Amino acid sequence: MTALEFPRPVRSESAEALRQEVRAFLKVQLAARSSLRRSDSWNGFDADFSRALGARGWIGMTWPKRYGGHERSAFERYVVIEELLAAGAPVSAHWIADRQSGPLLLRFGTEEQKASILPRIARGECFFCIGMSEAGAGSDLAAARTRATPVDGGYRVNGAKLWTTNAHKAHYMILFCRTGGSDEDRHGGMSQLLIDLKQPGIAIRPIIDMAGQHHFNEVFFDDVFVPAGALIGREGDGWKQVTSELAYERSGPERFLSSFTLLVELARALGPAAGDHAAQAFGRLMTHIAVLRRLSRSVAALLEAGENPLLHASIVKDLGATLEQEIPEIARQLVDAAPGDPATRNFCAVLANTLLNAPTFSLRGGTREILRGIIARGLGLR
Amino acid sequence: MTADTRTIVLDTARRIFAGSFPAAALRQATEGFWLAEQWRVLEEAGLPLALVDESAGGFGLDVAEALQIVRLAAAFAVPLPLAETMLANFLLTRAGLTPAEGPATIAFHPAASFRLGGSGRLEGSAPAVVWAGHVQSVVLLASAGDAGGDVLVRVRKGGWNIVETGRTLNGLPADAISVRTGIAEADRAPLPQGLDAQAVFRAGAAIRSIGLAGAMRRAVEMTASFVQERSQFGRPLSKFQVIQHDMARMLEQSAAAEASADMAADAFASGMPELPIAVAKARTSEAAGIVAGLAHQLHGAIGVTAEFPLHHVTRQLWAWRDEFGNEAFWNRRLGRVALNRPADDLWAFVTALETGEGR
Repeated sequence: MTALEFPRPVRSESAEALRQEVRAFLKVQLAARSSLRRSDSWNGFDADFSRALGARGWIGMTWPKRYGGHERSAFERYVVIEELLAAGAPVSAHWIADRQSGPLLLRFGTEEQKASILPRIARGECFFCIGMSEAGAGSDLAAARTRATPVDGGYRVNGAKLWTTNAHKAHYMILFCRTGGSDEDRHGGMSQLLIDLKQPGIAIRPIIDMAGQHHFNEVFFDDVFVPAGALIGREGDGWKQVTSELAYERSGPERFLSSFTLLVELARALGPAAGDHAAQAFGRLMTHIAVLRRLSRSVAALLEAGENPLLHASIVKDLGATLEQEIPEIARQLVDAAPGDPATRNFCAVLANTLLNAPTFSLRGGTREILRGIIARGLGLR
Repeated sequence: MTADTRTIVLDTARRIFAGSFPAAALRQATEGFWLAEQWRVLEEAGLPLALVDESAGGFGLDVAEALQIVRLAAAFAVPLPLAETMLANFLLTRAGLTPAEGPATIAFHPAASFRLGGSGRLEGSAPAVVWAGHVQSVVLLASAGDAGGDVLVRVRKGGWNIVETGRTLNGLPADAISVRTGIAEADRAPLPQGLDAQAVFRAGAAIRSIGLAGAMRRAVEMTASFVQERSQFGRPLSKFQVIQHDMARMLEQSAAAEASADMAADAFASGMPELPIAVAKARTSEAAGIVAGLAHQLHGAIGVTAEFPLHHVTRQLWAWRDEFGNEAFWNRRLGRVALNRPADDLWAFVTALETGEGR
């Protein structure tokens, strides 16, 4: 087997100083935000908040200054995003652009794409969605059939994307689609296109989830013209590019902090009078969070070093999703909450919200089954 | 320390462990046989002194780096009190005493009780002292009365009696001892500045966390090899998706254990703060049961035979997860500390955990 090393995360004084700045900022910005809304975690959408964050220089932090970035380290960025998540800040508007679309453009985009779009992302004014999944291509992404046919000056796109979070509020989509080859040539002939969602021929249909919320959409492309300049990277390299993007998507602290607000409310409900059993169960959750945090920062260090730690990221995400889903299951057994009891009203509301969102924790960004397949491949078993 | 020294020391240790502890030797040790020749090899390589300063005979490695030796020894299921002697020598030299001559062991069990009289008279007893019948020294903590606090004591061979023999879960001798002897001044000293009896217990927990991670890595490697070699239904086990997913779960737990062990090593090297060691021992102990269980499941019946070497690794996991506080003990402790703070400070508590500032 290949030796799997998670390098020791580096503690940086400048990052710790930044942490205090972020906490002070959030204390003011989120003063009126209820624990229920905080528990929306990175599903919470607030364009004003994103702009305020951009004004502080906390979006696109590691990007070059000439593209509106701030040339700060991956560790500093890590501190900012984990503080945002732990506080339940509404980061959804800029989250995808900051986490993966921006870095993807930075790596593979044309000069024009980078110059025109990255500064707007960094200001918190330009939001992205991911056009990967389709009705027939969920975990099996290579089954995507949406096709961009080369025409004079660009492409004509036909097909439909599914489960597209924030498509109804985003400015752009990075579309993963077929530009050549056949549907049978699974990894060849795939490309990524930068799609302006205002383009004629695009229809966006909402999908309401079981919590009554509208995050998902279905996005239809009916003979949509896309100029040649929208190609990201090289035509036919889409599969390679999209897999490098996944390490960004899978390793971050959002993979184990989605339920953190529930932990805070659980701590409040239990308090210092907690019995031994409750203290032990709560301590275990702390233990797991602490170790995941270390693993996740270690992946940030690998990304900073220019590696593609897809295996490490898969381990963090699967362990993280397992923990995130365990938190509501454990919390509900530790607190005697009677309906209508004002002492536990917040706890119950946050618990319900977390439970209704929890099934997606091990689906979004790569299902548990896909991740374990990647890990088994890392062990040399596939 | 240079990177070269580290590489040389760790490569040497790995070579010795791999070469000196074949399955036959491991089996002898679990029958209570003391591997004297192998101990001599460890000693010649200087490994028992790995955690002491260069001036006292150490390699001059960073303490956190030198603790990698504990991880490696566990991976090869070294059935000698190497980690115990390394810890004993670390404490002895920090307290201003000379390191142990020959193999040593520790008597830091929570039920150990020793009293040191004014004239250096030591009395007391301890359960489960590993290899007590074969080492040259037992290092223990004694209470020196109201004003004296805890004193670190080295008892030389002949100073203790075995009152009841026993075995650890991984088959090594672990006997109850009683002590009634005089202790020379050169063999006793107050605990070094900043360390108390609880800190010594935490040092043991850190050492076990690190060993657990090493043993888990080995269990994953052995199992990954086995499922590729063993065929059923006409193909290697590794080609079955359900097997692949069990292997993935093992690697995930092992990765969590390795990160925990790093956390324990960092804490060991910086004054034994309680909370990172609590995290490390709780997380490695929990992972140990999962990894051992899956390793046996995937090995099938061959894995539980005396002849097949898997049990030397899994029995270490089961033994060590309960030594120096199991996951229930440390999780409860951590939970208490966390719940005694304002709920709104929970995240600040988490971010300060690793450096021990979370108190």
